[in-house]
Amino acid sequence: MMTGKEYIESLKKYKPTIYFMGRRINSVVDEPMFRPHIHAAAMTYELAHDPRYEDIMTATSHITGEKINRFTHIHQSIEDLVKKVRMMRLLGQKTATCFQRCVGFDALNALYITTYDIDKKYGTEYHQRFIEYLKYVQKNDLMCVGAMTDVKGDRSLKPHQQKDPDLYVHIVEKREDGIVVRGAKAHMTGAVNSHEVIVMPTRALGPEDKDYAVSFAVPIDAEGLINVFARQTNDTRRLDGVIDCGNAKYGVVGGETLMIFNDVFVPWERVFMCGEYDFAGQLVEIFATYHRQNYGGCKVGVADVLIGATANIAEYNGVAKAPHIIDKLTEMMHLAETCWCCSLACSYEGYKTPSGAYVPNPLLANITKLNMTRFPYEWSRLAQDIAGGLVITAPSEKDYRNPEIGSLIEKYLKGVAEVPTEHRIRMFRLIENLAIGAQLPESMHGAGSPQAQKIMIWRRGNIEMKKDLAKIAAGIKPDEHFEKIVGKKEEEFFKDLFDKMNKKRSDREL
Amino acid sequence: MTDSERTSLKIGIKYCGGCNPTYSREVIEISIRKYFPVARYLYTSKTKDVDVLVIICGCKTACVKIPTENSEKIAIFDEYLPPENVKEKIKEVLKV
Repeated sequence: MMTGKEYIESLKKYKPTIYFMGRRINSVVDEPMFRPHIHAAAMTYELAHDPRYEDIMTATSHITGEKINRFTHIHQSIEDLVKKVRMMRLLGQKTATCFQRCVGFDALNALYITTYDIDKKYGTEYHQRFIEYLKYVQKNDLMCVGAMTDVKGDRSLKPHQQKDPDLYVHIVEKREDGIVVRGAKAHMTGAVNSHEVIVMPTRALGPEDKDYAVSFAVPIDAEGLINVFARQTNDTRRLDGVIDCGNAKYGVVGGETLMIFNDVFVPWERVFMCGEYDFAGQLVEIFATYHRQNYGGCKVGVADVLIGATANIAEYNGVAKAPHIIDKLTEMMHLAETCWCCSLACSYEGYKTPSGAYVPNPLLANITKLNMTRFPYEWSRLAQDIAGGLVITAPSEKDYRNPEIGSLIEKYLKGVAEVPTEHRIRMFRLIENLAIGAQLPESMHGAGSPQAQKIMIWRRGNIEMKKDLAKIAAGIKPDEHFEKIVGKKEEEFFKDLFDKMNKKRSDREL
Repeated sequence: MTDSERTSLKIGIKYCGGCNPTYSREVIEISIRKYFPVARYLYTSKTKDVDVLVIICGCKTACVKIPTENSEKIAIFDEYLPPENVKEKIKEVLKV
């Protein structure tokens, strides 16, 4: 297993094609705009070597028996699923942002299950190929970016119906030694600092979309693979010092790219699906289940930091003992722990698939993620409420450091006497980063937008069973157990009951 | 306990993963190291090579796997204890 430092060093061996702000980026690790994201991912490596955290940060490979970083593990039990979300929360607490490595982790697990199922139906050899690839990832402790979301063009059209056929990644050529693919994937978290890219389809597909049913892995510096690093709200603040960006060490959200496959060659040993369109939907669903499981872990870890920051700013402002502040902080904790309950629940309710790998309960995983599209907005609102207006109006670090006016800022932005003004400004900036910046839309759309979860909840929520329960409760359908309790048919029971009652009444009237 | 006994003492420490601890788990280790400063320490989950295996859990869930062998050598902490109580608990396991 690599340490955090070794991971950063390992990135130097790759020469990916990356653009940002009109520039070609030649060295990922030397680019200050990428560096915070790299540090966040490095935490996934570093904590695996700390005895205080290794119990959840590491696992034993079921293939080799070796100790591995949990991010390269295939879940072998319910305990593994639970440890996964424990690890997510821990890393959220340690970085206060997205540490990116879960996407590839989920892709590995989803492909492990799906390649097994494809082989079972078609007699193909994807699963064995995938196991060989998995061994390579585990042995070298690689970070993989999970590439699912296609750019999609006109959302009302299927891939083959698009005016431009490249709006979903697809096979453009099959050769003796492999395939050539073209297309683009959007919002690729952690791409610039990953070693590998694992590509999966983005939706269920039909026979006419056979060429879009493709899954494979390539190194991040594969020929023809281009990453365009995305802008974020306030992103260039990280070039202005250490205070204004709020989280100078680890950044905010994952650092996403537009990933373009400009006729990329993939050798057959790295192809895990090639035309089996009837498994595209399954792969998407399993991946989404794993990924939606995460959000009540990682985002709750980040919320732990935000709640702490909010409590600190209340102290710095001198209002920590006000009952309404305590009430709001309690509400923030309630919201965060509710999401945590969801992640634990979907993990504990997980099950074993035919491949032997475990998967969380899909209904509960989708509930987890749907809550994450709402609750972070509320806990962020409460943080903004408690913090006060300076969370968005504090002067810049450069003005604070300016010898001409710095002392005036020091004097007039003082809160309680015993806390340095700089601490107060730092805490405001951290809250701004966590409660106002890119974290919120990331909670909304990461792992799928709310409607995607609602579709899954509707499909799996068993509405017919609920309708039947209501019919039984309303006396429209027979209630088997009620009839056993009263020893007769429901209608008969009530007829007898009312007959007796009416008789008593008429006797009294007489 | 004599000084030489303390010197030859081997203390194993195993932490849970620490996802959401209800107290600072490190204070338990600090308390132990303070009382047994010359003991040999190793981070392990095995009881066989140590005189006492200290398992430090962050909460009552105690999700970490507890070894089943040599259970008499194990001291489990799942909440904050004052240093004096930590010391007493270790001494209980060591029967000193």
